[in-house]
Amino acid sequence: MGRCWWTLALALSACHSDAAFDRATFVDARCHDAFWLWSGVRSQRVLDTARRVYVLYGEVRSDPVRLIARRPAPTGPGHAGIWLVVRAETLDWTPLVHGQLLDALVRWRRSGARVAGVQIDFDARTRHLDQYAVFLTDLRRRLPPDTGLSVTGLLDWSSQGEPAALAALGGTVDEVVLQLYQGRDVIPGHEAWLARLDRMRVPFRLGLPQGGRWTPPADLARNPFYRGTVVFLLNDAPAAPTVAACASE
Amino acid sequence: MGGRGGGGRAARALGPCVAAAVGLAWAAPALASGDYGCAPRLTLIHRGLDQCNNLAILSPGNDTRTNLLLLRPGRWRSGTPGPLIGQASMTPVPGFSWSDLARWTTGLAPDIGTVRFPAEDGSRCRSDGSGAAAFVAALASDPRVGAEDRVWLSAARTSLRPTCDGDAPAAVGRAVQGTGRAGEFATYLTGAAAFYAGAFDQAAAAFAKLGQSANPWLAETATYMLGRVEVNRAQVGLYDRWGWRDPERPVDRGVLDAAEAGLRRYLAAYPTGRYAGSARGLFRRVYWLGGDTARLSAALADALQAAPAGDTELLEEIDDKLLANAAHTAVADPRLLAALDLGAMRRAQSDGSDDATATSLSRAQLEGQRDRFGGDTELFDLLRANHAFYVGLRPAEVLTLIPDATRPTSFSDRQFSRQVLRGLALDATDDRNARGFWLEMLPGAAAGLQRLTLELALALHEERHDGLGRVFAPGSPIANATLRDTLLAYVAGPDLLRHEARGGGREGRVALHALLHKELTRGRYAGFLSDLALLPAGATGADGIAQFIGEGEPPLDLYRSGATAEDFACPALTATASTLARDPGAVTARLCLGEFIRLNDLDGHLLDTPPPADELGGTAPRFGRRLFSRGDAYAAIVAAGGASPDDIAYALLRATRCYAPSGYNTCGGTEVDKDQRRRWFERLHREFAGSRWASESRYYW
Repeated sequence: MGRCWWTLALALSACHSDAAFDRATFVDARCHDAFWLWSGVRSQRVLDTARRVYVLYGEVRSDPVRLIARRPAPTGPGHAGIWLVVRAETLDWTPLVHGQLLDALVRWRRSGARVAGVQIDFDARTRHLDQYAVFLTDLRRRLPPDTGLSVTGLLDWSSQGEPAALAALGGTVDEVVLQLYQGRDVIPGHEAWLARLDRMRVPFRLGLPQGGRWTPPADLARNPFYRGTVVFLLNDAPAAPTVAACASE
Repeated sequence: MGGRGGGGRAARALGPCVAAAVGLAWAAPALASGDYGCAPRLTLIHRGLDQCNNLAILSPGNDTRTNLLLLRPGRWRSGTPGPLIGQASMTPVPGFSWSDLARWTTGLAPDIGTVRFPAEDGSRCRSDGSGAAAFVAALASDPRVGAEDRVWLSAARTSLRPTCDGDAPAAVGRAVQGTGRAGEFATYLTGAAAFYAGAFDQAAAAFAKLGQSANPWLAETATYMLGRVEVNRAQVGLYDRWGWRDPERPVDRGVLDAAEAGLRRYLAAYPTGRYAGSARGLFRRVYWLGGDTARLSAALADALQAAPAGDTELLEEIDDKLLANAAHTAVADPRLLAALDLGAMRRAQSDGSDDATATSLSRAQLEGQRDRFGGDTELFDLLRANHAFYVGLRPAEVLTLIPDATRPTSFSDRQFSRQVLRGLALDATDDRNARGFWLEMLPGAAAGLQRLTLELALALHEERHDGLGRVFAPGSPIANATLRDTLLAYVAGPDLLRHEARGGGREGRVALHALLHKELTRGRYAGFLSDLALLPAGATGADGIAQFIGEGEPPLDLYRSGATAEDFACPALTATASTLARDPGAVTARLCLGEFIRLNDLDGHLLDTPPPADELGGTAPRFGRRLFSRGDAYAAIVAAGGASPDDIAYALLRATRCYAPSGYNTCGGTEVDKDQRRRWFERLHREFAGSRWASESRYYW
């Protein structure tokens, strides 16, 4: 009897730990089709078959407000939709900065890249979402009509964003990419944040770090606003298994 | 960071589970999107790279560029005001990011670029604007060029406007020939057009004809351009579609040697010429292209010695082009080597990977570098002490390597780094002189980051040595609001909080908020009711999300006018608290406390998610008592029975809703499996089928 109990306990504990491990999914770039390509990050083969690549073009810094170029235009034709990303430290853009962005958009398209739109990466505190919406409405007006507008977002937004402010974004941006990471680590406890995704009323994607582990919410695919993942490519991501084991979802 | 002038960083109150910020790593030099969500970590010990929390001391946790700036020559003199020492109230916390520091650094006005060429755009065509202006000026000042020639040559040059986007070369205009001096300018024009179009043979041929021109501008510029043409030629085909240097493509050594020879010829003829600085930069590019680390390192060391204090671009170049990939053996300059060594002392990140700078450095390897530091034992010993502290985990050794020198009237970066490390070692070895040591350093610390660093050190010490009372006593040297609020929010006990609340002011309101919240959620109902009297008359609200650590107002009107009921009937908060004070097991009152928490978004509240144990505010809270959890309350009410049907039915409804919509528990307490949630759901519909709560329950999660 004692031995039975011991075996059962062992089996149960093994079961429990396996279940916990399986729930965490390894972010293998080969299982995704949209990526961020940041400054200093080397090219990876997955880029050749990507559907979307968000390429960091430059940063808008303050004191003085200026755009700092980070990557040249992708050259030559390719089938991926390119998004030109600008990381902004401030929303106080000068006319010169706006001009530089629009000029870059033209040049990138001229270099052969299929530029689908512009993405703004700005850390908008949830309580300033309304100010951010004003900026984005203005930016949208300046962009050529066939240009999408995407923004990166913080997990804060899905759980604490004022509904009116989030809705204001919805009229202006085509998508929000919520970042589930800080630096190169998946934010611990992201599950609790994802639990509140039902508040999102804007099309959204989930941003993940290459080589991270995350727990996809069970019914993510049922969320009518969910559009897929975007993987942040890293130079030294943890090695993926030799053969990609992509989950069906 | 947006919206705050002056570059200060708000102490960002992140929500549940994110307050424990992980150590950050990044693949040098990439800055991961999302790192602006920087949370301050109130600790002085960073064993791994922490992008958001660089300190004003040399440390492995700093960005390499921050360390380079701290190592700059000229920052070693005591009392030299510099970017770091001079910052008075630029930041509320002692930690900062490299972006912050680069912004604070005074000196060179950063380039804002032009429409076509933003700052740091590396395109060859970037120099067209200034080149055209110089060409036109040289024309204007040469008496041997006729007026008509001057006009068409100037127009032809300024209308080039090359874009380097792979376009066809711009037409130069009328046939480029002419005699005499005008002909020479025309030849130059051909060369410039060809250079910008990427036709390097044609460009070189044109410039080669002008080295002996009698016009000094033409002669010098053409000589320089010969070198520049070769540097550009060397880069052809090296970059892939995404602008990345393709490692499969080896660089053409013959072209690199020609480039070096060309640049050398220029500098030999014009050692202080108008392009000398640019030529030296191009040398560095040649070394980098050729993988010549030793010469690159020497060239960068020279540049660092000569560059003005505000030159953060050079630090970026050193980090990006040299230190990201260099082996220790290839770097001779002590300052560059020190920055490289500090990077190598970083602990690998949690995912097992590390950034490219961190080739792990053994003690023996470090000791073997002694000769390269020459007579600079101060710097070398500081490195050895950092290694002992961060890698060897032998803080006692720091005390023998760095003697006490706490009382100068001011600290240079080097001295400050040394003494702070000594202080950290005193605390790590539980030396009874640690507190006195920090106090002795205070008078000599510069306002701003040095002062803040010491206040944090002292606050960390007091928190761990029963000294909270000293922190909040009159005359306490710890004045920083973020540090004080952190202690109030996470560790202060009810007596201290009440005392501070009575003192009024913003800090008093922070203390009151912490007191009331904790009394209410940790079963001190009588205390809660009596302390409500401390609410100020016009109790302040919060504008949206309440962030009050360091600045901002806590949402005190929550206790007066926070929502208490939605569909489930609940009285005012004071009534609920009174009931619970009499009878903590009262079912309806517990449900109503749950409603208050739910309706005001207090689940996983900031005040209930303390920082990690090694940070300020991370020690055990002095409040005691268990945190009320809605999840546990619902489960207990349902299991105990004996309550009214309405209460049980409501508890069942809320219990299942805790897991909506994604199956994750948002109510706190013990996690319950899906089978149990299903059983709750079924019981609600079976036993309480006619109830309002059953009719509102369509799903379980």
